[in-house]
Amino acid sequence: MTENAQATAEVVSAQNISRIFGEGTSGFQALDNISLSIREGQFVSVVGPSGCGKSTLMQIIGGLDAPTRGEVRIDGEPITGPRPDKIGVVFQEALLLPWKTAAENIEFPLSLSGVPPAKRRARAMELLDLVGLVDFAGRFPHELSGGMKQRVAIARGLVRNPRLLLMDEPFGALDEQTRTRMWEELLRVQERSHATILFITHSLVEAVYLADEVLVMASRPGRIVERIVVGLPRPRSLDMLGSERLGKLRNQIWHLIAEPQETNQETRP
Amino acid sequence: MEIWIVRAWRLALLAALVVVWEVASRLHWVDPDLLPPLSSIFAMLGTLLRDAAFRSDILVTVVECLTAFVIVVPLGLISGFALGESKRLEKMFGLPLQLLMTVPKSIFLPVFILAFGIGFAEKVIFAVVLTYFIVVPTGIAAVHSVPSGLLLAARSFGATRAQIYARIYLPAVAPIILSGVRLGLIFSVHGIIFAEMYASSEGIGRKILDWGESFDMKRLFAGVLLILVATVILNETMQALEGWLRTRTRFDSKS
Repeated sequence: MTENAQATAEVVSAQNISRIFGEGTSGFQALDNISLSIREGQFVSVVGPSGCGKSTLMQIIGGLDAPTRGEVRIDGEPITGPRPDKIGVVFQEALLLPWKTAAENIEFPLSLSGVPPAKRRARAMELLDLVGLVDFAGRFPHELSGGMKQRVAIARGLVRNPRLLLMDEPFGALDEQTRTRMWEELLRVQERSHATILFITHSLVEAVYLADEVLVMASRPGRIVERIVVGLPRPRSLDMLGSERLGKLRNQIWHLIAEPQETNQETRP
Repeated sequence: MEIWIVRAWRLALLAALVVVWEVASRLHWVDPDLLPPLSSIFAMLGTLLRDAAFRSDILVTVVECLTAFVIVVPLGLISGFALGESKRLEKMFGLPLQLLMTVPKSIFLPVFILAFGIGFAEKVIFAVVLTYFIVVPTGIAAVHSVPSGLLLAARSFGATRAQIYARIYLPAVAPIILSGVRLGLIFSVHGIIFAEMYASSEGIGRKILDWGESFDMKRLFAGVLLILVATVILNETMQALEGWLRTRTRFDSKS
């Protein structure tokens, strides 16, 4: 996949992104000089300790927050605000509107931009089929399980056929079993939709298992310390969770994340 | 238990109360001068409602209640929204509001009478003050009931500020707002009748006080019954509407 990716177009390009909250000496540097590139059809994970600025990075790439320095481009176009036509976002919480059915929730972004009802309903049904929830089109969120709600949220993220699907710890609130099933679901969805995905997580196994490439972040200031090519064959299968390759990568990332913090503690007065 | 069984029991209880009241009075188990038969009270209520003077008293009370209601609900809800949305305002006014909420507002009524004189303005202002502190918390709760992440999500879908207010905030807070409206209505009635009973020349509260002091039990009970039935019907109707809205707009605590 990575070999192929070299030949495909660059979808996301971030150049020297820094984000400082507050002003002057009391300012807090959340991100320091982050650059990354994602090619069409690539699945890239970002993993790092909590507080390393993963979510800030996601918000900047999604146009929901502006960098203090640097620039993000999608298909070569600078991002200066939300771009629902280019970027779909899935959050940790499904954030469905409780007064709308599963289908209506998926349609919601389309309704905001005035797509006619028949057209958007057809699109919602397509996506419900993609995430395996056709029979639940008319159900309200409170009638759906946690995993189902997150699948609706993924479908909603894909509704405008975005160039990039941003996922911010989308399975973080789910239990272990549901999460594992969601991995299968997401891999299947990606295979069928060829979506380009930037996936943020704090789970090392999840980061490696799903992605072509893992960006490892460290905190204070938030920066990318390593770019790891996963190199596991596709399609992925759950057997790979126990594979030597995955275990090795997981440990490698673990040391990258854990060591700087340990040395910090040793040198602390 | 099935809902119709519960309803049947409630109806039976009400019927029993009606029968016991009627019988107890008629058979002199209690002094009928103190507790006249229910049927005679209903007859009196009918007579009163045909009396133009009494109807004008009702009209006075209704106009006062509606005036207080129309002033206090937007005032209270908008204050609540502002407090719920701004951490700074909450810091400044949160505590004083909370302290004032616990104070019985009736202690201020003599001050209002001195300040505004006995009459329409004094009664309405008292009801507004009483009700304001009940409506404000529902405004705050309405704002807090919308998950903050939803705003970010809405922006990522390309929602404009107007769309966020119209398509997310408004439907999300509708049941809580309605609950504020309901409390506003009930407490406006409460405040107006209290103010009328305390000092007034007209209104149904004044009449009830007069009948009580002149030991006119039939009229007194008729007046009490009228207000009781009217407020219960008001409250229940609005609560039913609120419940229907609420089932449609409940955010789960988890995703």
